[in-house]
Amino acid sequence: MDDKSEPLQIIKKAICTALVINMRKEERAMEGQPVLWFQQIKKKFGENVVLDGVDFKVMPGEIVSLVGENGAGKSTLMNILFGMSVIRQTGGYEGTIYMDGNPLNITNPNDAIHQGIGMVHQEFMLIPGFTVEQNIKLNREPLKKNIFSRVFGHSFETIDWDAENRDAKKALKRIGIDVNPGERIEQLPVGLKQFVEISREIDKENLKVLIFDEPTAVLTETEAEKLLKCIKSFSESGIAVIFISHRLDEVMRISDKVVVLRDGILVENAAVTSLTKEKIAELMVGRKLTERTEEYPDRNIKEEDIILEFRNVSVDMPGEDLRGFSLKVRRGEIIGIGGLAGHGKMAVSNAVSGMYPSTGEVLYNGKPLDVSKTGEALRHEIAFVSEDRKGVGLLLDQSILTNIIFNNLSLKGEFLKSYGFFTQIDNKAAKKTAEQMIEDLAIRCTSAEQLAGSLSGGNQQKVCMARALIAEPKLLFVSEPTRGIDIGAKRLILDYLLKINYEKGITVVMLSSELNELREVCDRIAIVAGGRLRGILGPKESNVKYALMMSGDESVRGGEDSYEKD
Amino acid sequence: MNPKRTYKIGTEVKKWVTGNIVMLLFITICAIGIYFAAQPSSYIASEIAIRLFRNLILILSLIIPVWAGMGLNFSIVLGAMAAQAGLIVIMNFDMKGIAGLVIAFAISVPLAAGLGILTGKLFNKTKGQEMITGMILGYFAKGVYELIFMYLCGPVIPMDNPQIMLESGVGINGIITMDASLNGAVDKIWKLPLDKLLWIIFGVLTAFLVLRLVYGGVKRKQADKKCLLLLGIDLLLFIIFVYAIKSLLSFQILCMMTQVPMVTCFLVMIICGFIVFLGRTKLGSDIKAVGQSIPIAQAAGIAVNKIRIIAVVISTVIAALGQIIYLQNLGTFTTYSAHEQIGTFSIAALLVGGASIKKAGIGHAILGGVLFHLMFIVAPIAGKNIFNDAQIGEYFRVFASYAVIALALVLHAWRIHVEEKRKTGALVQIGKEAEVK
Ligand SMILES: Nc1ncnc2c1ncn2[C@@H]1O[C@H](COP(=O)(O)OP(=O)(O)OP(=O)(O)O)[C@@H](O)[C@H]1O
Ligand SMILES: [Mg+2]
Repeated sequence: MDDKSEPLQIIKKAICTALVINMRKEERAMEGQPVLWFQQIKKKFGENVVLDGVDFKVMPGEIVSLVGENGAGKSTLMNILFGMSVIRQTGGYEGTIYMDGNPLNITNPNDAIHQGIGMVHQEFMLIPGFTVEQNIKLNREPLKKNIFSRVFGHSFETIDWDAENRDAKKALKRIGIDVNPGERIEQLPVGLKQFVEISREIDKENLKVLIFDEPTAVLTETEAEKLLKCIKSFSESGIAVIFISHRLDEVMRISDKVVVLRDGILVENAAVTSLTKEKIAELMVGRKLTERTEEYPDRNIKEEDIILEFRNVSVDMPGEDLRGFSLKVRRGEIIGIGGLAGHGKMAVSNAVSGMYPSTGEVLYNGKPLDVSKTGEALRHEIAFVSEDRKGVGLLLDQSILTNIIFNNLSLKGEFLKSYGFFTQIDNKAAKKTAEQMIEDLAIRCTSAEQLAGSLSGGNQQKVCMARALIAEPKLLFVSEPTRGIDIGAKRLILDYLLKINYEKGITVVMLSSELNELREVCDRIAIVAGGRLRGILGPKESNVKYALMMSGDESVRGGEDSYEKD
Repeated sequence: MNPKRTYKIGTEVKKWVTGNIVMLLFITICAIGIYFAAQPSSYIASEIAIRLFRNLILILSLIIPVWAGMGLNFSIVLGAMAAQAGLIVIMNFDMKGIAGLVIAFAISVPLAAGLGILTGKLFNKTKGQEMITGMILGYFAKGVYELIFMYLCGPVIPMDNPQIMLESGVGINGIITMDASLNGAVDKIWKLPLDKLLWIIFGVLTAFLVLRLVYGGVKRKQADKKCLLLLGIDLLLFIIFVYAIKSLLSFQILCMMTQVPMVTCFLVMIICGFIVFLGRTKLGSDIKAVGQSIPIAQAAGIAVNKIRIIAVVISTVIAALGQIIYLQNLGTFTTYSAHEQIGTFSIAALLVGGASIKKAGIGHAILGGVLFHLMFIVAPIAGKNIFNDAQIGEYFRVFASYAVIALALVLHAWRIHVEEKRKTGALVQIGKEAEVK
C-alpha cells in the first residue's frame, strides 16, 4: 500500500466503524443485541441426530427456559455452548454460536468460562474429596506470589487459603445458604451440593450467561423457591439465564421466553405470556397428554399382614437424620413417605439398605433383619432405587442391557440357562426383556446396547428404575422416582408402579418430595418432619392437613385408621 | 456405653486395618526377622541410615503421579535410565568428582523431562491404564536403551574410553565401576554422626515452632493449637533423646556408628520441601483435582492433559536425581539392569509405608523406606538362622517386594469391586443363591 492513500484509508475506516457502531446502537435500541445467538445448531452422535437446526437468541438479562422430553437434546446444546469435551470427542457440531454479535470459538470449558459463561451441570461437577471452598474456587483460586512463582510461572503461586475462605463465604452468603466452607463435598446432602455449585458459578466475576441444567430436580420446594429467587436476581443484574427444568410450574413462573425442543428440533420459541403449561407439555410431547390410564380394582390388603416393620429406628445420615422411627408396612400396599428434604425422609430406605449406620430394629416378615450386613436386604428380595442422581448406581461404561440385566444380581434365575454344572445367561431372553422395559418406560436410546453413560440424565434415571422393576422384588423402595423425568414419562413410571403392585403384588415404599405424586399412587402416606414420623394420612386428606403435618405441627395427628376411612 | 459410638469406633478400626494391611503385614515380617537375625541395633540403624538416604528420593518421586490419579508410576525407570546415560557420558569424558555428578544430572534432566513428556502423552491416550502402560513402557525403553548402549555406542556414537567400553569397541561394559572421586562423591562431602544431627534437628525444630507460636498463627487458632501440640511432642522426644544419649551405652554406639550423609540428607529434604510446597500451589491443587475426577476438573477449565504430563515429568526428573544419588552411593552399577529393579523396589517401599494407589505422602515414603530396608537388612541373616541358608533370605526379599506390589494391586481391585457392588446395590452371592432356588 502506498503512503499517500493511508490517511484516506484511515478516514474511510473511521467512517465505516462509526456507521457500524451507529447501526449496532440502532439495532440495540430496536430489538437489542442478543448476548447469545444459537444459529442453526446441528449435532449428531454417530448416526443419531440429536439437534437439528436449533436457532434462537438470548437477550441480556433474559431468562430463557429450555424444555423438552428426556433426551430431547437440552443438555447436549448446553454442552456445546460450554465446550464440554464429549462434544469434540464425538465429532463436534455444525452451526455457529454468536456472543454479542461475534462468532464464538469455544473449544474447551476454560474458553467458555473466560467468555463469561457459567454452567450448573445436570450431574454434579464438584470434586467429592475437596472442601466446599476449594470447589467454589476451583481453578480460580486466589493466589499469592512467591520466589518460585516469579521464576517458574504462575502455576507455582501458592493458594491463599484465607482469601479462598473469604470469597467462598461471600458467595455462599449471596445465595443465602448456611454451610461450613471447610466441609468436604462428599459429606453434604444432595440439596446443599446443588447450592454449592451455584455459589461457584456466581463467584465468577465477568458472568454474562448462566446455564442451569435442571437445578431444581434435586431440590425441595422451599429450596427450589430460594433458587428461583436467586435466578431472578441474577437476571435483574443483567446476566442472561438459560434454565432447563421439567417442572413446568417453575418454567411458567420464572421465564421470559420458552424454547421447546422435541427430538432435537425447535418446535416453539415464544414469550412465556403466550403459552400455558398444558400448551408447553403438548408441544414437548407432540400429542395431547392423557390422564391416568388405568384404574386398578381394590386389592386385598390386610392390616395385620405386615411385611416390614420399623421399630424405633434412628439413622445417622448427613443432612437427613432420622430419630425413633416406627412404622408398619402392610403386604401389598403402596406406602408413601413424604416430607421436606433434609427432614429425614430419605433415611428410611437407607435404614434398610444399611448404607448409613443405624440403631433400632427392622423386622422383615416378623424376623429381624441385620441391616449392617451388606446384601442382607437383597437376600430377602428387597430392591432399592436410590435418589442420588449422579451415583444412581449405574455402571456408566456398560450398556443398558448389562445394567438392567447382567449387573442386576438380585435377579432370580430367569435369565440363566443351566447345563448340568454350568449356568449361562440366556442372552436372547434377557435382551427381549430389556427391550420390553425400554419400551414400557420409554427409555430413549438407539438400542439396548447403548452405553448407559451416553444416555440423557432422565433416561439414566429410567434405566435405574427398570433395573429394580425387572428384579421383581417382594418389597421395593423407590426414592424420588420421577426426579429429572419429563412429564410424559412421569405418568409412565407412576403407572408402572401401580401395575406391578397390582399384578405382581409387590409392596412399594415410595419416598418422594412431590406430594402430588404420592397422593396419586399411594394408599397411605407417612409424613416425616424434623427427623420424626409425624403421622400417616390417606391420599385424599386435605391439603391443609398435609401442609401442617409437614411443617411439624404437633396438633395435627393422622392415625393408622385414616386408611380405612377413605 | 453408647451403642452408636462403639459401632462407629469398631468400623473405624476395621477400616484402618484393612486400609493399612500391607504395612501391618510388613511390620510383622520385620519384627520376626529382627528377632531371628539377632543383629545389634546399632548395626541395623546405621545400615538403614545409609540405605534410606540413597533410596528415598526415588521413592519420593512416585508421590506426585499418585496425586494425579495415575497410580504408581512404573515409568520412573525411564528417569533412572536418563540418569545412567548422564553418568555414562561424564565417565566417557573422564569427568571427576562432584562436578562430574552435577554435569551428569544436568545431562539427565532434559533427557528425563523429554521422556516424561512422551510418557505423559502416552498415559493421556491410555487413561485409567497408566500402571500397566508404565510397566510395558519400561520394557520397551529397556530395549531402546540396550540398543543404544550395547550396539550403537562405539560404531555410531563415537565413544572410546576403554574404562567403560567393551574391548571390542562396540557397546558399554556390563558393569561400570566409578572411580574414587565419583564413588560416594555426594555422601562424602559432609557426614555427621546421628547424635550431632539429632541435636541440630531438635534445635531447629524447637526454634521454628517457638517462632511460629510467637509470630505466626495469629489468624488461625487451630494452627496455634496444632503448633503447641507439636512443640509438646518435640520436647518430650528431646528429653528422651537426652536421657538416652547420656545413659544408654547401646544408643551411644548406635549414634557413633550411624554416619548420616548430610548433603544427601539435604537433597532429600529439598525434595520433600518441594512436594509440600507443590501441594500448596495452584499446580498442586490442579494435579489433585485431576486425580479426583478428570471430567469435573475438565469442566472447571483445568487443562487435564497438560497437568498430567507435568506430573509425569516432575516424577521422572526427580527419579533421575534419585538414581544418580543411588548409584554414586553404590559406586558401581550394572549397565543393563541397574534401572530395572528400581521401579519395583521403590513402589514396594512406598506401598509398605501405607500408601495406596490413590493416596501417598512423604510420611508413607519415609516409613516405607525404613521398613523395606529393615527387611532387606535382616532377611539374609534371619534366613540363615531359620533355614540355615542365607540364600533363602536373599530370595525372600525379592519375593517380598513383588508380593507387596501384587497384594496392593489386588487389594485395590477388591476395593473397587466392593465399591461398585455397593453402588449397584447387589452382591454376587445373592445372584447365585437365587439361581439355586
Ligand atoms: N455421549 C453420547 N453418545 C451418544 N449419544 C449421546 C451422548 N450424549 C447424549 N446422547 C444422546 O443425545 C440425546 C440427547 O441427550 P441430552 O442429554 O441432550 O438430553 P436432555 O434433553 O438433556 O434430556 P434429560 O431431560 O433427560 O436430561 C439422547 O438421546 C442421548 O442418548
Ligand atoms: Mg439433560
